[in-house]
Amino acid sequence: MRPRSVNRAGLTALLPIVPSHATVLGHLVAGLPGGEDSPFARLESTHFARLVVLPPQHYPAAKKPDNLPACLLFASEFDISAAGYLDLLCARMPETADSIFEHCSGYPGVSSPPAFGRWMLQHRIKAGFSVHGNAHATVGWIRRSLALRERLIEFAVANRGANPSALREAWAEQDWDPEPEPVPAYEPRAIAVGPAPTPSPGSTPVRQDDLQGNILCGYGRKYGYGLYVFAKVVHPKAAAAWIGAQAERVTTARPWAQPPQATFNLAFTCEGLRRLGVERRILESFPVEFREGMAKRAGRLGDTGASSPSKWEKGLAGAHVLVTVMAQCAETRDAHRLELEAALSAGGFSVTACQETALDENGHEPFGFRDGISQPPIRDPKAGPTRRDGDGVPLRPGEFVLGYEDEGGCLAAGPGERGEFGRNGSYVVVRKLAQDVDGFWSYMREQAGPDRGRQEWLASKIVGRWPDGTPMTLSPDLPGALGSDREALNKFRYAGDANGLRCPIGAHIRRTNPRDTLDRGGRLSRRHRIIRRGMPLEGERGLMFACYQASIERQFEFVQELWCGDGSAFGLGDEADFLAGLEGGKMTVQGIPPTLVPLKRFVTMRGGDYFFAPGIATLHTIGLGPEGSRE
Amino acid sequence: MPTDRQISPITVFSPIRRWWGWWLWASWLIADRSALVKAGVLRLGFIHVAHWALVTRRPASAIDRPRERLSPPYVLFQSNYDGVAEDYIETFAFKVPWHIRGMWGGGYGFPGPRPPSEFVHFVIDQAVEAKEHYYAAYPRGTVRSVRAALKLQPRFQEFREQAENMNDVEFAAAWQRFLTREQRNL
Repeated sequence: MRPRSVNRAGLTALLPIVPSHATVLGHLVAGLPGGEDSPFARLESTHFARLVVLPPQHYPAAKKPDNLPACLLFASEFDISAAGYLDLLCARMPETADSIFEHCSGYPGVSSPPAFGRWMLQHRIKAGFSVHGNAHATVGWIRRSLALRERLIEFAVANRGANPSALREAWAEQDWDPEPEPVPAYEPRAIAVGPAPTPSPGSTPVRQDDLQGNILCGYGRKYGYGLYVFAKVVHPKAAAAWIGAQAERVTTARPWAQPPQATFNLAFTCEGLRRLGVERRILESFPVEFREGMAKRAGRLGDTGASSPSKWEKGLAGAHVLVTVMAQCAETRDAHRLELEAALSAGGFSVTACQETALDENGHEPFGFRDGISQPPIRDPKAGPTRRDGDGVPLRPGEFVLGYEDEGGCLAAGPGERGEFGRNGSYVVVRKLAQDVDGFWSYMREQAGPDRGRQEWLASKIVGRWPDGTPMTLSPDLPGALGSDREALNKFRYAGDANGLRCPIGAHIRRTNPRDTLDRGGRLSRRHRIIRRGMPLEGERGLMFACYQASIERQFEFVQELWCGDGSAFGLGDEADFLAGLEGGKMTVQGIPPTLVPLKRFVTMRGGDYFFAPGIATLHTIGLGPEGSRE
Repeated sequence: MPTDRQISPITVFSPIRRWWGWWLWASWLIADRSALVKAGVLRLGFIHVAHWALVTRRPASAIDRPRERLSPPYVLFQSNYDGVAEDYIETFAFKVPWHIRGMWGGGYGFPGPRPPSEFVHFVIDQAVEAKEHYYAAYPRGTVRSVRAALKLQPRFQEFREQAENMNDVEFAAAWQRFLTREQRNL
């Protein structure tokens, strides 16, 4: 049956609340059951409905400011006429209507639907301009269509590769009129109002002597042996003094006259800064995601099941300080480890975890794919790579370092008064990821068959690049076509591959850096770039993922949650990234015919946290300790 | 389901200059009937429903009482959208700056659509955070997945009818063709 065309209608009413009833009404409204049990679920033509207890509105800057008194905002979107909807409301949810609307002035009760309708329509606010994403389908039709789509996806995944008779049999057994799934309850997501952004006075060169190294400009492949030391502050005073003493030792972004044998960098969690005596008002000016830390944000990051914080390795989350060393050889790194462990213990810290990393000699990550090819180019030519190592338009440094102009045209806001504490700092996300390499390739064999070339093809489609780094969108059939030059491997867009027939729309590299997939100029993608500085684990199969950004929420979390954990932005529904470590659902490898690969977990989160890598001047401030930490 | 993404609502009250209310009233008469004006917003692909309305009078306390004129008037913006609020508003600023000027141009404190960070702050600051109840009939159906499902439905029924008279081999081939044709909707 085809959908009947409908005329969508909406009703918004501002109902005055009886003086002094606003608090009671607020509790009543917030206490209404949600989802399937919502009273509006009884009105089957309701697409969306909202009851909001609005506080009084007052705008003193206006010429003659009036108060808009506290009101109840009732807004609903439905498939029938407003009068018919209100009649239905009286009939289907009379008790709820009475309990809520009786706190509004002039409420006539639902016993007389015409009077109720007149009252509601008297307070109606008519929309002047409206847009509807899907205006011509009823609620029932949308819900049934979504259920059928889910059923078709399940069927296609379950019967991939089935022989004709088995396929036909499975088809016949299937119920092709599935019931829509129950409506889950709405879980509100707070909208954080941060400080007002500061308009940028224009681009200024990055102060390399105050910026820690490895942020805008990487240390390079020469420094192939890494060490991540996680520590807790035991004696705050001594620990702060140790930090202050190390400030000059920290490797900065200033060009080297003589390359060191090893680099040395420091970063802190919010709790670490607190223990080191940073003032409360400064701590409170850090963004909420940094204050909460990674473990508390696990739900939105997809760190659930085997990746949930309760299963993380001890010591990686909840640390206070992260010391990173990048060395030219393993011996130097190991010597630093011994020295650091002793120095930290003597300096008022207790080491909670140590993780060694080492670059693969070919620059490949454990699944066997060349890594670290695409990094954002930076607009300040002295501070970071411009075009050579990057792709697309160079980004303003404020996307990664606080205190500089960002792509939104404002100064990247830093903590502290006038952002002084954060100046030349950057947020670091560190995640230890275990990779089930054998499981991954045996799954490729299971999905693609015994042919090794076919397995590599499928894995490359999932990643978006061949193992040697050749992008699928430039060379969908053969690896190695472009050589190994990073610039050549990065010079591409997705405009000519809108249907994903070359590089799948849900491929890992296309999700994490969609380039021009979302808009022609790639401007929307540029607001969500990160600088990756990860390295494979030593002695284990996995990756120490590390990335730098000016806003963890807008950059890392956004990419992880909305681009990797979900496919809506790319028109893929709730399809997640195959490598995001989520289970359930599928990935579509577009083709003729398409290949549907069920998602399975091969990447497991082992622990990590959100850190702040301050500028050198701020390190000195932290070094002053609990008594001296002032801006 | 890999994630629990959901549709979210936002309600924004923005005080405006009175003359701007007249402009809105007049421009909406044309704009609300123009598919061309709406196309830019709809192309964004994450708005289920969005309404802009003028609030020029206080709600009357009784049905027979006159509704007093409000100073300043307000623009009431309500939307049901996919994703997160900050990104939603920033995308608006990047992609449809003229719509934004047309809606909020006469608003007190309106910074303009660029730089987007200032506009995002302007809207978020005026968004209503209050006790509420929200219901969405298909909270996991994003705009794009609803569109895909609606496209898929009739094509599936057509395929289903045709499949009834096919033998196994014909059916398997037809299923592959169906999958190939509909892969963007699955």
